[in-house]
Amino acid sequence: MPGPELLSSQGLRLDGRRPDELRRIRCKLGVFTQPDGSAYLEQGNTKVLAAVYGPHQAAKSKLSTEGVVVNCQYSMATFSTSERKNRPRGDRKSQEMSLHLRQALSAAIKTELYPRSQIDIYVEVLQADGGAYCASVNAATLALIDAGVPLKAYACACTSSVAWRGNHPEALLDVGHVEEAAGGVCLTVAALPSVDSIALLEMSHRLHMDYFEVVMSRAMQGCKDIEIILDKAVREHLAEGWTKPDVITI
Amino acid sequence: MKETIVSNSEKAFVQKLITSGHRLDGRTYKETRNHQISFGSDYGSCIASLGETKVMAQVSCEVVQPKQIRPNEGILYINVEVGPMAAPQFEANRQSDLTVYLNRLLEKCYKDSKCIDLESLCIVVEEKVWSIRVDVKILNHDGNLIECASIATLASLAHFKRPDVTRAGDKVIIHTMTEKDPIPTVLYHYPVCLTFAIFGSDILISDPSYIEEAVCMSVVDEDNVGGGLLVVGINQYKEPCLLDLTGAAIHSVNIVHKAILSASERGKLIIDIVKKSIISDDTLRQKRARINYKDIITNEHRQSLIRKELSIRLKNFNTNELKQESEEEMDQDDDDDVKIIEPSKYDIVATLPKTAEINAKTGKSAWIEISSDSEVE
Repeated sequence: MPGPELLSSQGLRLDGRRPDELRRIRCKLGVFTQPDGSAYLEQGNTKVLAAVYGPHQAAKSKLSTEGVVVNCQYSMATFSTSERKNRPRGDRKSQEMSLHLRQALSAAIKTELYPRSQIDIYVEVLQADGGAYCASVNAATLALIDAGVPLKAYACACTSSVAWRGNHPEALLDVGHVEEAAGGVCLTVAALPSVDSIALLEMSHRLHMDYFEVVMSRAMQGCKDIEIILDKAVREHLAEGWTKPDVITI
Repeated sequence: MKETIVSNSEKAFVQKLITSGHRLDGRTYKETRNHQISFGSDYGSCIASLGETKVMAQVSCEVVQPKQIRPNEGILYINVEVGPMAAPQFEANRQSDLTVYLNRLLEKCYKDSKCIDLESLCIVVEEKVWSIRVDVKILNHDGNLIECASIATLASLAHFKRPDVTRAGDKVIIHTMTEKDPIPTVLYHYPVCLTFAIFGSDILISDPSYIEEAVCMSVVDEDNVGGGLLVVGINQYKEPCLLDLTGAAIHSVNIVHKAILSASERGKLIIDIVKKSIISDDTLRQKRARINYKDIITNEHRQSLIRKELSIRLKNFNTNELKQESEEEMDQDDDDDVKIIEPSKYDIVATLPKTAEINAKTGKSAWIEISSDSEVE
């Protein structure tokens, strides 16, 4: 494979993780006072803030009698990437990310409970080190829980890629920016692990179909692991109440 | 204009029909509509049609300064426009969600998968490179825009020929088409996007039509019956280059595997069609035949219906069984053993393409028995 060796001879990745290891996740719920729900999540070096407003009355043009309208905005701060980003929101990639966020979260929210209403979800990426979309989905889930919006299940997202050890493909979990930029395939899965369903599946770059199963199952496992972490964080937050000043480290 | 809402009864009917194994227009789950590719007089201009969905793509090139981070590579730029011509709910010059979606999918399929050799587009490192721009315009929306748009993009990129360039010392001379033969673009592999509609947990439909797309995206049931649209971008080497799942949630990964397998078979057929059409266009040009869009735009026969094909096809044309059939459909009974089939007194004869006539069977003369059950047409 061109570029830096994604998997060393000892089986370690560029940042020293083993192929099936997630990056360290630290999160805190209820960071802002104005929104109904908010959360801050770090996944390795990727740092994301999410704020949720709602459900509130929907704008007349967006009204839907079938269920709540989920409105997402994904924006990357200009200082989030190594080169200054000129357009924080409104460019095509951010619009696509907003669409994907909306899709993943609409699958998780019990939309039929709030017809003619709207839920606004704003996500800001403070530092992007790969997996910004996944961190956004995870942070948005926490913010929704903090806002008290009823969910069918946790919406968790995870990326996975593949590297070759000799001739044997090894699936890498939770790709970082360097691994993404090395040109390898990157499969993003947003799933509702407890009800065993997949809300969003996205893959770019080429991957031979024989290896697809390995990469997919690794990503699904990653989502399940993230759900356990998020669940623990929520329970600890509720147990301590919002007076606990420290960030929860898992 | 707002989009025509798909009514609940339409949704329920289409879902019931599909779960019982049929499709509205009579196709099987794996059948696609007719592909047609037609090239224009310029290199790089093509219209692709998939049934009634029509998409036009045009490739053009110009010399620009390369990007700072990639000084020796050319630039590929894909732009998709969906205007009111495609369907009345789209607004002119306004980026709707669908526009963003199509743009990103085509970018991922053709740019990120590195199907074009961008280094061959370099003229002078850090100063001049070719910038190839593909403009895709949706002419008519009848479902499965992504597949049609990707076929149009692929065909036009493969068809496109850029002017030849020679360097004379410091000067760079760009030759016209008449001076030197233009150079075709170098494609490493031919990726094409295929769409599948997912109904329930295990029904995979190839090439969904407009109404099938609308229904599968809005499947929301108390029983958590999932559904959605799965786009698989695949090339002739059976490598998926793109995967995208939209719509409601799906419940098993197996359906994605099934889709990728089905996509690799179908993808190969489509890529062969594209390659063949480019070769035949080449031979026609060498014979100096006039190339234009005449065939794909005009109809050969007069028609009284708005559409060329029936959009709803009856399950079978056996007229005697009409009453029995409708009862069976209501019961959703698949008891093949119990069915009593009477020999039909009428024949269905195909006259023109896509038209049938009912002729009474002629044999020796006999009294026609009119019983109270059968219906005589």
